[in-house]
Amino acid sequence: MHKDEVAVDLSRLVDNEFTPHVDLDDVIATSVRRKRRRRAITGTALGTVGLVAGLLIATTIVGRHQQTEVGAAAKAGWTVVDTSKYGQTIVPTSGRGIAAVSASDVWTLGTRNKGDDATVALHWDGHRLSEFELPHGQYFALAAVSSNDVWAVGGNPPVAGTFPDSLIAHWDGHQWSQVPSPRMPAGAHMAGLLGVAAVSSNDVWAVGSIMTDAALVSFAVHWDGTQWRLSDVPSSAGGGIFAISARATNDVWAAAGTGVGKYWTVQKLLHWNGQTWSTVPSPWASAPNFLDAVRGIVAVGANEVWIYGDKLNEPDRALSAARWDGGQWREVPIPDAQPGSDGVQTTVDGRGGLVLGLAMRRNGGAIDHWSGGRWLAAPALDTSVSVAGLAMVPGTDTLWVLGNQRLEDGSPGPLYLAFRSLSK
Amino acid sequence: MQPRRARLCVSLVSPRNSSDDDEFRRFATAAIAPLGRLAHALCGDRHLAEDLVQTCLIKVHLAWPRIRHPESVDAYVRKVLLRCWLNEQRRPWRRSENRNGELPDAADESADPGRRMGSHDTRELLRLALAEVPPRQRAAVVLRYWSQLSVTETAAAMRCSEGTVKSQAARGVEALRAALQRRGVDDSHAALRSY
Repeated sequence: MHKDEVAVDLSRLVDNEFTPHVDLDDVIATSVRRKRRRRAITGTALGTVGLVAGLLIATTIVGRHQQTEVGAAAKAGWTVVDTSKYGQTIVPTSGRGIAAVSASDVWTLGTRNKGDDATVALHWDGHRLSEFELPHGQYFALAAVSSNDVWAVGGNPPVAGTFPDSLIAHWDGHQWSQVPSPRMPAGAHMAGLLGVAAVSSNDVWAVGSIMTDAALVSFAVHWDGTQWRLSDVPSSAGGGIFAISARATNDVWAAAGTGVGKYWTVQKLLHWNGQTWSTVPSPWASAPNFLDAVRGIVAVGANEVWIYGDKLNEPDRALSAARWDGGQWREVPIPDAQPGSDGVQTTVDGRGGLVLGLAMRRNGGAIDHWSGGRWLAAPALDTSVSVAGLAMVPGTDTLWVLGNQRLEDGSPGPLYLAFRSLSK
Repeated sequence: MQPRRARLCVSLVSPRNSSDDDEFRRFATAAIAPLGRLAHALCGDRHLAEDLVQTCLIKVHLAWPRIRHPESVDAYVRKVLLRCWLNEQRRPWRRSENRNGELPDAADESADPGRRMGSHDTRELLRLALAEVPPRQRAAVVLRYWSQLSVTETAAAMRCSEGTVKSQAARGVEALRAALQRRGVDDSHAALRSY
């Protein structure tokens, strides 16, 4: 008898009551839009000429700085960087794809639609955007210490016959080069870093997930100024640490979870006190449905930590946030959150407050600003922008936004990079 | 042949024939549940299963005027779903990627950490073990032993030879047994029969 004929009964694999919620109107509308877009792309030369002419009229090139100022009211105040050379660059929606050292020194990550999934670094020098090669791989997060000390972390996509490994790249002011990752524990055959946070030039953390023979395991590595070393994390920390925020040498926060499908469903929050990692009492102990798919964590102050993400168990699955005040976690609804989210990003505002950038499936992007215990008026954003990263220029009021413009069917379109004053 | 030509003329005038959409709706309404369960069997996740069905149906709708033959449409749709899922699998760390704006819309108890803890029942155990089986082997195992397709039907869905289906399914079952054993199931042969 062929091995194939051995009786295997998998009938109980799937709940027979399971019926996916699929909106057929949405399916048909998306299909029709795609068909139209295909027609438009393969349209006549005349049509293309018309389109180019239209774009030229709509976009005014401002001087030699190659910045474009777009005139609509909702976009007022933003200086939009000309990204046309890098138009088809997709930015990571988790991790942190942007880091600002100064007004003339801003880094972002992006993956060109070339099919090889390799990430490049884009740099803003105050005048224009230029591209820098990173050691080959996929990168998800950036952290900047100074103009000659910037870190990018990620993972090598597993390719047949190779040993995929975590990737750490460093900018020394002249070039990006690969820095050796620590040796992985026995049994590990794939590792990826999903987040990085820097306290100083000799105190940098990166976190991620190791795939072993049995399962995914959380891991954290630390840069002491000379090398990256594995750091012990509690074994209960789930399949991966996907977000990290470092406020001080003895105050680092991280979110760990188990990957189910495309979400990290969070089971643990971790804290580094300068000596060890420990799990902290999390909001889910008492309220399991509370913000159940966290996407990120940010330490704003000694007694103020935020987590933010999706409420998967609510029918409209809105973005939400929760704030720890040193004593307990309380949910804080995000003013501009709409049903159907695609992500949320944050940055501290440098004055004790927090800026959130939202990406929403139907309504595009929005910015919300929390300061002094309440929500302040925040700059309006072009709603076609799906925010994938936020950064404040240190010591200033300048907010940078990184994202992709959403196409009509929700897929990521041209790269969007812009800055403006947060409060004016 | 005659009606088909007539339809072609209409489609030159209007972007879509509305009777095509009606037919598609009838087909899709009936197909959503079985497709969703197949997607769930393959990927082990409700949210992703919904995404896969949605992506698959969009592709099917795009091709609908060409494929609406009642005998072959089920096989075609299965093939599309499988391809959508395998494409998804080729992208490592996909949780960290831009998700193309596709988002499912239903609750999932498996996403609830409170309920997940300690609830490793047999279905959960099998689902987690299956998740460790490499994608193409998993596809062969699910189509053969969960969908109960013949080797020929599985080969058509996977676009490979019947010999490949047999070897992939055999290796997949071995991998599944090994994964069950790693999860503390001693007699994985019996376990796979008794489920």
